[in-house]
Amino acid sequence: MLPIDLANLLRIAADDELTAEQSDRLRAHLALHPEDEAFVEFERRLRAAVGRVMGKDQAPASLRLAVRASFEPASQALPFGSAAAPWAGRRRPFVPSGLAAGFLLLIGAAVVLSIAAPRDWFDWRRPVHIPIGVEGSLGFPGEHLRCATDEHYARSKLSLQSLDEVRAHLSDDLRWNVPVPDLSSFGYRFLNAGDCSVIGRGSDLIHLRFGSDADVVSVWIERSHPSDLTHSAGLREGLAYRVVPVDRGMTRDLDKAYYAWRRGEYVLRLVPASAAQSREMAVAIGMPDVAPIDFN
Amino acid sequence: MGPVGRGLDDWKAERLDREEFESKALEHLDALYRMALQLSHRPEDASDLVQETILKAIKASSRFEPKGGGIRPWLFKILRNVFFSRVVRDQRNPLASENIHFHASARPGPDEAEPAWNLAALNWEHVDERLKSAIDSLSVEYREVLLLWGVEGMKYREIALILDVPIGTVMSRLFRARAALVAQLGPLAAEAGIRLEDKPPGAG
Repeated sequence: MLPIDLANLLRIAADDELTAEQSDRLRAHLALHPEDEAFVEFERRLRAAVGRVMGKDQAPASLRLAVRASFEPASQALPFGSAAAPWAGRRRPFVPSGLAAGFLLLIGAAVVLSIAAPRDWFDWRRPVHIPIGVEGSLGFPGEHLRCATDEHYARSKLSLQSLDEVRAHLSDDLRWNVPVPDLSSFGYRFLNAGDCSVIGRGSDLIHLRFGSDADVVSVWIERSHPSDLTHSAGLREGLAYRVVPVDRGMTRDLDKAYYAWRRGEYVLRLVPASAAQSREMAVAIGMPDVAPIDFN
Repeated sequence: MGPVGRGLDDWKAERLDREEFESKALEHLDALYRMALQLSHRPEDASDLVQETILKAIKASSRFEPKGGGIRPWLFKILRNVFFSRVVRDQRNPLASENIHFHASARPGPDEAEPAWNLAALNWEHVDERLKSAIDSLSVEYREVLLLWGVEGMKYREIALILDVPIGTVMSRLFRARAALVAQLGPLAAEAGIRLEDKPPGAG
């Protein structure tokens, strides 16, 4: 049996919560017993599986409606009598109804124009800001760095080993219209040592990088997850959303603004580089129009 | 002025105004519901718990401290307080206690770690059902820590803040819960023909 203190050390490593002293101890142990890295990998997968299994439940629509109603100061709909919000007594500024209607019409016209008018995807206008929390879905601290620096670990993770396999995944799982050979024209590299997981093989992530190191476009593809931003923000299919990162432990190269959109059960993210190259890639992989909102 | 005496103006000054509160509360609604479901085990009770949580959060807004990790852990703490207050209340009122399903003494988990490293080759696409059953068999203190760790992706210290226990307690519960899950996944691995070794890793 695995000694408990060692098992727990490996679990802490899987959770990326090692102290410096524990890191040293683990490094020394793994130098002698590299096979124990499989335990760490197992624990990471267990966490993902627990998240998948326990994360399936969603608040019913009736609850959502009831909570929304509770935000209304005059609401009597809920069973708890003292529902008055602290702002319930706040005075609202007087606005003549005709003026308000005109203002709303103006806003509506602006929205219609912003949708109808041709726009540069990478102009990044931000007419509306929607704050959401995304740290749950975007934090994979350490894993990719470890893949890049630890050949043994990387070998244990990668399962797409040929261009044919990539082609099969893109067409079968993602229904991409772009033929893989065309991607080569971007200086296409697939599943380099920084990319650990692969869609369709019990994992949830694929990372494609295009272009030169100095001007690289990244595309991340993940299975949608209940804690993912597409659930919490309710991203609609058919639109891409600009995501503005905040300082909440994001890793990968998602530390700069990127685009996210849904396609079936997948979430795709495009981290742009130069406008020309990013636009070319966006067209190639069928990125939808950008919504006139952004969020972080 | 202490936090209890602060009002909406102070709250707004910390940039969590009414609209932002509503937005964030709705944003975390699924997470709250999942936690409520783990605590109560009944969808109708879970909805009820979440509603009361939101209402208490609104009323307690003046005491909200953004420094404590944001609104999410704060809402979770309120939810747990609401739940355990109900448990205490219903223990005083046996007629109502049948509405609360507080599994306080289910199996916590084994004392020794299972040989989980051999399961690395397990087909994860097919473990969900067994895993769900294993999770359901755990007592509430283990399920809630698993939820915060596995679904919400929280760090130990964040979980400790919500559960109001030391980090060491969080780690202990989490490790025991994981060991219990692995113990129940073991037979599945055996059914799938995966060989389980009984030597400790590193034993050569």
